[in-house]
Amino acid sequence: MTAIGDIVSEEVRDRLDHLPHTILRLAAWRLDPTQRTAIYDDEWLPELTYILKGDEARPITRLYHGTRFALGILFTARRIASRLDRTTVAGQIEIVNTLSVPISVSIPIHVFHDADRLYMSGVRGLTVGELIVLGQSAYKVTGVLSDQMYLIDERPFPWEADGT
Amino acid sequence: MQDLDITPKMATVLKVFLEDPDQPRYGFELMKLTGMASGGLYPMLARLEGAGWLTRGKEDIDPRAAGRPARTHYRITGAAASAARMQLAELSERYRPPALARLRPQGGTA
Repeated sequence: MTAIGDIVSEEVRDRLDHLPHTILRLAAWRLDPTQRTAIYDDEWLPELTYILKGDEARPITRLYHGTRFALGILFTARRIASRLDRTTVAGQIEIVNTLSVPISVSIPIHVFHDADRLYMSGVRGLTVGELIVLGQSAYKVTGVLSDQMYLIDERPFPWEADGT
Repeated sequence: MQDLDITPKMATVLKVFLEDPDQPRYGFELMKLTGMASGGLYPMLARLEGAGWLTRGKEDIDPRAAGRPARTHYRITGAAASAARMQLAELSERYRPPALARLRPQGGTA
């Protein structure tokens, strides 16, 4: 009987954990698609995951905090987005590495900025100094913030800089 | 950096940043420290970031080891910290009760 009770309570806990995620996904759908990665993937989702997995996260507490967090975001998603200029540029990336061997990979990559700096996310393993060509723009990696987040500077195209 | 009119709620958030300007602050942490809901806090963080008062960064963790993605944190810029200190002092002065009112006896029994 105790075993059945444990199984049921675990099932209920798992399902309840989905509620804040579902609400947050609804909030993400209220965003312009060009902002979704920069705001939902890079900020809201990691924060919610932390709330649901944090040290203090007991089942009822995490459900309360997670749902409260997600509901607040849901009702103000558009207001948050309108105050940020974190639109992303997405497309196929061409990495011109230090060996000057262009690599073309079809992965979504995003470039966005805050008031001071330009960021790029969506690709792993870049190092400082690498040059990224994305659509009509070229960027140089100037800092590595995490395994998928970089500080970048916009640069002239390599062929323009070389004068070729 | 743009000028901002600091509201009382914004003052509550800025005060947390000013306690240690080098300390990165996270959204959920700010919610707990200020008592604000995410629906009030995040639009304000967006406004402060958009005005150049806050900068964003990423939590320094190994996501695979931590079992979760790195969170976004905020820091107040040096210029914003100076401006915020000045404006908070002005705000405090504006809401300070007059001296006479504070010293007036409230009555009572002997």
